[in-house]
Formats: sequence, structure tokens, C-alpha cells
Amino acid sequence: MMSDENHAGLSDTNHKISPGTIKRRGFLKIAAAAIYGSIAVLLGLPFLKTLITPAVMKRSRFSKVAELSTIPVGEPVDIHFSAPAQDAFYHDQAMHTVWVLRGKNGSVSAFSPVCPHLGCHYDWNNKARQFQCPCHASTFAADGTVLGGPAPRSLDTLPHRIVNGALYVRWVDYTPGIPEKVAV
Amino acid sequence: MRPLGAINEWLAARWPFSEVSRLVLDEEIAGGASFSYSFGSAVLTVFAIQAVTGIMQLFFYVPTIRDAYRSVGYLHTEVPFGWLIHGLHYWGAQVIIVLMLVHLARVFIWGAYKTPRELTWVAGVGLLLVLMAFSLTGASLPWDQKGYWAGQVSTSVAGVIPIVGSAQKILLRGGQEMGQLTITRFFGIHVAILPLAFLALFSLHIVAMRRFGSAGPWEENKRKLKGPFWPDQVFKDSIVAAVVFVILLTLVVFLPYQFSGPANPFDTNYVPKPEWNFLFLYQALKYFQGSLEPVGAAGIPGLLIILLLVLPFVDRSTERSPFRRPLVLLCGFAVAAAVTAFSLAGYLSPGYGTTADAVKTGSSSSGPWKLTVQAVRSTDTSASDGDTNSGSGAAPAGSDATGPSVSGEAGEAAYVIGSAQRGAMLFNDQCSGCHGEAGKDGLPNPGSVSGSVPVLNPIDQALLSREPTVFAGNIDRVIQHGSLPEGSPSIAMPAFGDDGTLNQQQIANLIAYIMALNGVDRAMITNPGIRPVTFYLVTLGVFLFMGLILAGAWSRRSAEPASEDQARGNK
Repeated sequence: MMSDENHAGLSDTNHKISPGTIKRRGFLKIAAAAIYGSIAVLLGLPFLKTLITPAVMKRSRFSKVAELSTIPVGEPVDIHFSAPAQDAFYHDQAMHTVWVLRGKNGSVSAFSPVCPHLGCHYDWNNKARQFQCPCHASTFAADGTVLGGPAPRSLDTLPHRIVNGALYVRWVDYTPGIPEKVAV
Repeated sequence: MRPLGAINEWLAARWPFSEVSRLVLDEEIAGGASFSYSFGSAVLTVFAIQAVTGIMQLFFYVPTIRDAYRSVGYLHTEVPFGWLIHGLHYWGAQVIIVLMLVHLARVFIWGAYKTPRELTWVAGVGLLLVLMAFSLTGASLPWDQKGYWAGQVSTSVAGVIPIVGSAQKILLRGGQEMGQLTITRFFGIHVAILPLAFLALFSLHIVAMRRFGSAGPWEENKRKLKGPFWPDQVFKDSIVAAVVFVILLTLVVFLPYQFSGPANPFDTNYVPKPEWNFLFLYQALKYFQGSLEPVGAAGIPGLLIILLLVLPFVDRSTERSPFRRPLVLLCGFAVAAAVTAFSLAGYLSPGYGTTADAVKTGSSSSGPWKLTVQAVRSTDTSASDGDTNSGSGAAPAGSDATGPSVSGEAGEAAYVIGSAQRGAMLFNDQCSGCHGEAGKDGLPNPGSVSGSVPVLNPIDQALLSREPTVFAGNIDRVIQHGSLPEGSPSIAMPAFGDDGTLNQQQIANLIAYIMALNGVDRAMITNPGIRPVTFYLVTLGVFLFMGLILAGAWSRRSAEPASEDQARGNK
């Protein structure tokens, strides 16, 4: 009903056909629609973000895993630690495991315990000096590189920090089965 | 264009668009469009905002006594634009009642309720009551101190009404006491029953209004000239809507919602006060005590409702000019003045927010515990255990960990937005004995390495964090589980949470206060989407820009003689 008049009003101002041809009622219609419309947009866009952001956002923090001095040098160990887990307004402590390798040169690596092939939990075979996944027999060296089996990439390292002699790790889930390390 | 036309045609053959749009938009307004008729439409605009923000909140809120408050806090501070949604709904609830009262006063003064518009008026009074019920049930939904006590008082008031009172009270509460069923019932009423009631009454109101059209000015001769509702009145309404929207946003941004702390049924020094729109009743009830209580509780609101309902049936003269209806106007203003006076008296009467008592008792109290060494969990051993479970939750990575070491998980209070104001009273009572007034000194603590109780203002750098939940968690662990200073101290921090000296609500309030002392707002919006003030400026910018464009278009139009206006006059 008003689209035609809207169109006419806009083309008059844009193309300078003849000033003053916007009819009074046409102007009022456009103005009312513009005002109500802008309120709707000013609220509608933010509200869309409100619904989308929590659905796509994941946040995790660094959690203390262990004092560095308690971790043996040269041999990977699996350490359980609790990390704060937030699900909307519910806060909980989630238990996670991390494989930590403390090198002789002082380097520290923290591996996600999840096999990058299909998500099984692998183990360390001290005799063979390698990580072995029980599901599809992927094997990895102590530094995480693939030695054999179907694993498409090295073991995933988790972000970590060392603060005052304690190891902190941030838990991240990575997508299994693909060559690239991509957070879920 | 062609397929669109075909769709239009197809639809028009099956649904009466033109008739409906005529019903909604085609109306002759006696005397022409006027800003003074815009308040009803402004109520509708705010109601639309309430409906949208209400539905948005349904995606986050849970109606349980354990989680309602937390879910509101989460939405407000951690979800983008949650502050906007919650703030608009909160302030919209206040503004809509103000607009409704202005609308009512306008109709009253104009004499627009008179025959044949009685039904429009009666439905309007019904809508006002529905809005009051929205306000009453909505206020309790966050299950915060304010809402809990408002619900407690309002259901008690409903309970003193003769005969039906006690049944009414337990039906509303879902039991003798306030509890889970209360919040579920309030929720059901607020989100299902009242919206349906509003829509039903609104349909009645609007169809009845359209039946006889707008009443127009009270002067007979001015009514002869007619103006169209669409677009003239709609344009004026839209300007009022924009003004109301900016006012609403100003309130949301510059007078943000105050978290009153989680509901604490055991808080004995909380003086509950209702929302401003129920203050008159709260105050009036003070004059009706003992056996007269039912008179106040049922009589005053009952009398006001009856007065409003019978007005068009009692005032039957056809005279509409306010200058020739002195008696009715005088009565109306007398009632309005009485309600206003009671409301003001209720507002000024002592209540929540008076901290004078707390300050008085604060210094005399040295806390409920004795100043002796208390066995609290020693944290020195837990570190040397070397066990793999020593993760201490949300320890602030990157911070200096030489401060008081505390093990144990953060309690429930860490995730609840407490009220710093309530916390201040509690601090004076429970904590200032050792930590000094406002946490500024520490009592000497012989035997401890530091020699004194830690100062909390400013707090140990190891505990401080700019992130509210992290900071709250750090303080929380100390209050929950206590702390044993290094050395052989004579004073140790008791485990207030573990030993049950303080409940989680109280601890949440204390945390908020200690954070406030260190310049961190517990209710800080950590994920605003756009900062409130920035959003405010953007909104003003959009309106300003639009106003300039419209003004430009208008001035071009005025270059030509107002032929349209003349045509309108002839119509």
C-alpha cells in the first residue's frame, strides 16, 4: 500500500526531479515507518546477537595441574586435574587428564589425552617408548609425532603456562580425524 | 514485481487484508490527530518491548529458587546485550505503568469515558489491573532479596482479606510458605495467563474504541473537523514512541538495575518495601492494624477499583469539558493526590538502605568466634603431596602466588551476584573486628609471619583480579574454607562457609562488598555486546541522523504550497 509512495518519495529526493513533490501524507508514512523501523532494528540486531553468541562461544581458563617439581623428567605422565567448567549459569569442576612430558632441557609439553584419529584415549608404553592408541593402533613418539597407524596428525598439545613453578593448562577439545589441529 | 503481485492477489482472495487494514488504520479522528492521544499507543509500544524482551528472557531464565537469581545475573552480565534485555524489561515495567496512568488521566480529564464509551473504559481499567499483576508477579521472578520479600508481603496482604484470604494466599504461594511452587506459579501467571488476559482485554478495548471512534476534543465545534488516523496520528504516535524509547534507554543505561542480592529468607534485618506502584497500599496498610487490617488490605484497593469501574456509569452527564465538571474532576484529583501522598510517605519511611543501625552495632561486635587458633586446612602440605589432584579451580594464572594459600573449591556464593550494600552491613558486624573498618587495618596477629591480620582494602595482589568471577572465586575460597596464616598465629580466619556461620547468600554479599572496596563491581557487565553508553550514543546518533534526513525531506516538500493540507480540510 505504501511501498509505491515510499518509492516515489525516495526517488524524488535522490534524483532531484522536482523538489517539493513529496506529498504530505507520503512523508508522514515514511517518517512513521522509519521511526518504528529504527526502534525495531536497534533492538532486533542486538537481540539476534544475544541468541547467537552463547550458542557459538566457548571459554575455558588455565587450571593448575601440578607443581612442576613433582613431574618426572624424560618420561610422559598422565595427570588428572580439575578445571572449572561453565554451562551457562551452572559452574562445576570438570575432571580432565593431560599427558605431560618434562624434557631434560627444561621444556614442558602438555598433550591432550585424546587420540587425533578418532578420539580414543591412548596410553604410554614405557618399553616401546611410545604412545599407543588401543583403538586403531596409532603410535606416537614421546614428542607427539606420528610413528605409525592411521592418525592424521601429531598429538594435540594443550595451551600451558608455568607460573611460580606450577603447571597450568587450558583444556581444549580438538576435532579428531582431520590433518589440521582445529578446536571444536 | 509481477510474481509479487500474483502472490498478493492470491492472498487477498483468501484473507481480508484490505478490510483488516481498514479496521486497524482507517479511522477519522474528530478534531484531527493530536499528541495528547498518543499515550495509549505509547503503552502499546512499551508492551511490545516488554513482550519481546520477555520472550528473550525466556531463553535464559529458569524459575527455580536455586537458579533463578543466577540465571538473571548470567543474562545481565555475561550474555551480549543481556543488560539491554533485562534492563529494558525492568524499566519498561515501570514506564508502562506511568504511561498507563497518564493515559487514564488524559481520558478522565477529556471526559472520553462517557456514553457510549463505557466498555472501552472498563476494559482499560482491566488492562491497568493486568499490568499491576504483571508488575507484582514479575518482581518476584529474579528471586532476589527485593523480589522475594515483595512476594512475601504481597501474598501476606492477600492473606488477610476476609473469608477468601487464606485460601488466596496458599493458592498464590502454592503452600503456606514462599518456596519453589511460589516462583513456578508466579512464573506461569506472568508468562502465560497475564499475556493472554492482556491480549483479550486489549482486543475488547481497541474494538470498542474503534466502534465509536476517538472521542476527540471536548469542544463540540472542534470535533467537526476530521483528520485521518493513518498516517497523521500514527506519525505523532511514532514520535512519542521514539521519545519514550530514548527515555527508557536513558534509564537502562544511567540508572542500571541494582542487584539486591540473592533471596535470603533468614535475613532478619531486611525491611522489605514494595515496588513504587504498590507503595501507596504499603503505606495505607500501616494505618489499619489489628482487626482493621482486612479493611486496608481489601478495602483500599477494592474501593479504588470500584471507583474506576463505576465512573462512566455514575457520571452520566454528557458534558465533557473539564471546566464544567468541577465535582468529578475534584474527586479525581483528590484520589490521585491521596495515592501520591501515600506513595511518597511510603517511599520516605525507613526501610531497606538504612545502614545507620549496622554502623552502630558494627564496632561493638568482635564477631561470633573467639580469637583463638582454629584448625583450618593447612595448605602447605597439599602442595608437597605432589598428587595430581591439586588443581585449585580458577587460580589466577600469571598472578603472584605468594599470598594466602587456600585450597578447596569455590562455593556457590562465588557465582552469585551479591549486594555490596548488604555486604557492608554484614562486614561491620562480622569482619571489621579483625580486618578493621572497611577492611582498612588488620588486628595484630602475634606469632604469624606477617604479624597482623591481612588488610582487605587494598586486598592482597594474589587475590585481586579484574575479572569479577575470578576475583569472587578467590575471595570466596577464603571465606568458605578459612585460612591459616604462616607461622604460629594466634588468630586464624575461620571457615565461615564450612562451619555454617554464614550462609551462601551472606557470603555472596560479603564478596560483593570486598570487591567493591577494591574497585571491582561484582555486577560488572563482562560481556556487554556493545558498552551501554556506546549503545546509547549509537541510538541517539541513529535518531539524530534520521531526524535530519526527515527534516530535509520535509523542507523540500514545504517548498510547494500545502495543497494536501487544503484537500484534507475539505474532506
